[in-house]
Amino acid sequence: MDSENIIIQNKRIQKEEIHIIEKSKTGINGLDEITLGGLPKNRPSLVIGSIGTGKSFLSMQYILKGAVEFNEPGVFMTFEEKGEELIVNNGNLGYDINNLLLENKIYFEHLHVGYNGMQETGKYNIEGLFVRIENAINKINAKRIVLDSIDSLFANLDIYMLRSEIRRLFNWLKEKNVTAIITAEIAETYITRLGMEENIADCVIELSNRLTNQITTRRIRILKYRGSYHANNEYPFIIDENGMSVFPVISQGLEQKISVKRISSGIKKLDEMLENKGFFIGSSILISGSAGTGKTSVAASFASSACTQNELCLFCVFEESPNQIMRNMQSIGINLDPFVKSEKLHFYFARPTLQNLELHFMSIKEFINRINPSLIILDPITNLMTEGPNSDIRSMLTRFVDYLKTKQITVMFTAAITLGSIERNPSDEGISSMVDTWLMVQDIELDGERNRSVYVMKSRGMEHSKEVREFVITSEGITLIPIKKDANGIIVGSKRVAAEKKIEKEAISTVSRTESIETNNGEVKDNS
Amino acid sequence: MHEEYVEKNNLNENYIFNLFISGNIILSNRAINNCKSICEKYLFNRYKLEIIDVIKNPQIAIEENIIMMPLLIRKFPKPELRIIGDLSDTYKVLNELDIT
Repeated sequence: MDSENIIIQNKRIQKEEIHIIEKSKTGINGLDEITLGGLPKNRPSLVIGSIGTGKSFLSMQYILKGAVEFNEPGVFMTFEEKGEELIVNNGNLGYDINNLLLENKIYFEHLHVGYNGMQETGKYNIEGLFVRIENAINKINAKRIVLDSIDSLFANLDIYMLRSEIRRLFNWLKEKNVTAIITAEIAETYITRLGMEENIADCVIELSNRLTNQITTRRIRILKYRGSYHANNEYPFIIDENGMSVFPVISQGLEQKISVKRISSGIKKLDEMLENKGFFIGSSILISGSAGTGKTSVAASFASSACTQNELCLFCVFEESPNQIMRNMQSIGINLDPFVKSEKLHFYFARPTLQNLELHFMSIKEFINRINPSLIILDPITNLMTEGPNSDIRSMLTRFVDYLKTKQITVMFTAAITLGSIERNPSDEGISSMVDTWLMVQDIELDGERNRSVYVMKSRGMEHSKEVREFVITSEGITLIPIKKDANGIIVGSKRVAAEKKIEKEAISTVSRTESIETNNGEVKDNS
Repeated sequence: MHEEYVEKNNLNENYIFNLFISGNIILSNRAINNCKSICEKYLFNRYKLEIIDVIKNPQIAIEENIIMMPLLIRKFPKPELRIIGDLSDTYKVLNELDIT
């Protein structure tokens, strides 16, 4: 019996596997990833969201990308705007819309519902809409269709008639062999009153716009996807001149390539602490420390050393302007100017408050795609963290680092955090878990003097030095000096210099003494 | 039968109507019958009624911007008046189309 059951079950599983849902690619960055391949093919999907969340934009992209990238003609029927306005309002992605219209790749139609003072007597339906949709599909042999948005129907018509009519519309669309997007504004009363759209659509996507700290973030979420797995989370997305991009996110960890190659940190003594070789290529490096500990200087020497080795470097600064950094680094003997001129070094400069964090990362990503750097510096990351709640930032950073890792880009970020602050601010701990190498720069206050020390807090996959070194910035660059001790404790700063001078003197005097002894001996010999 | 053309007394038209129908046979037939009986009863010899099947001529649905059906449009006299539904409420039809 049992074995029979198992066989039956297996058969059932096999049957289900055959019915794997076909998908229609949207071509929108990231959306195909979170839907695992696109919208359900030849089925209606519902895109909901309140006003200004990008429903029309998404739909328009779907049609345009379909026509251009996938050679699937598309119909865009709108209840709201007229065709011409639509093209102007929605990003045309640089496509030649007129040409697409002429080639019958796309077709726009305006549906106007609200007749002035139109009256009704007795029963009616929205058959006219069906006729027009069918007509439009046949006109260009459409594979994709958008109805944007059905709200205006509800504003004018009897809700009970519509309920059954919309259900009929969705079912009818399924028979037409077109992949449809129907957009609707979302209002609580609305969905509860009509609930059914969600029940009859195979895929429901929700768009939203959230305001935190005066910065708006667009978000997208797949509420439901019948017959397919999908990503459940809410993902940020942006709309810019390149169209819509959802921040790509999923399971990038698996695709990461791991390198055993090393890259020098640009500071010889620091390399010494890291098995004499430096950082792993494609790893993430964090330099943390309180204000004025020289984090940017470490980053700059890393950049300059990488550029010398002919690597492309992207230096993202959020605090100082590029010129200021270049001037400041000049003073410690790091000359970045020639690298900028030879386009080895690129700067990305933006005020953190300019836009939200996603947008920053998106712009940086775009920059990355353009120049393809092998090294990225984010200085400082903590400045970005003022924008938005910590948990968001941590996940965004993690995704960003994941992204960089898949591209095998070494990333170094500086953060104004100290050991004590980790206990106060748990999000910093989050940063630590995603970095491979963590350098901690700390202050040593001793005898009325403030000096810096540095140590490698962690460095995955290598036997790093556990030593605390004195961190010295001179006009020739950065160096790390092993900390000396004497009977009174550690000797740093001017005391160390004094001690070195003393030793030097002693050495000189010993040398001169031995010399004099030798000469004396010689004299003695000569005399004998 | 949908493309029926009912014409009464060309010379003395006071009203011109277009009735758009399609698809749903029951609803369409009801609208046609109601429309005809109203016209015959209240506008005898004073009207022209054109019944248009939108399925056979989809382009007209775009031109007239039709979504809801059945749809009766009073083309003449101006202004154009529209009324949707199966026209089962005679009083309302007369009232809305300003038929006297």
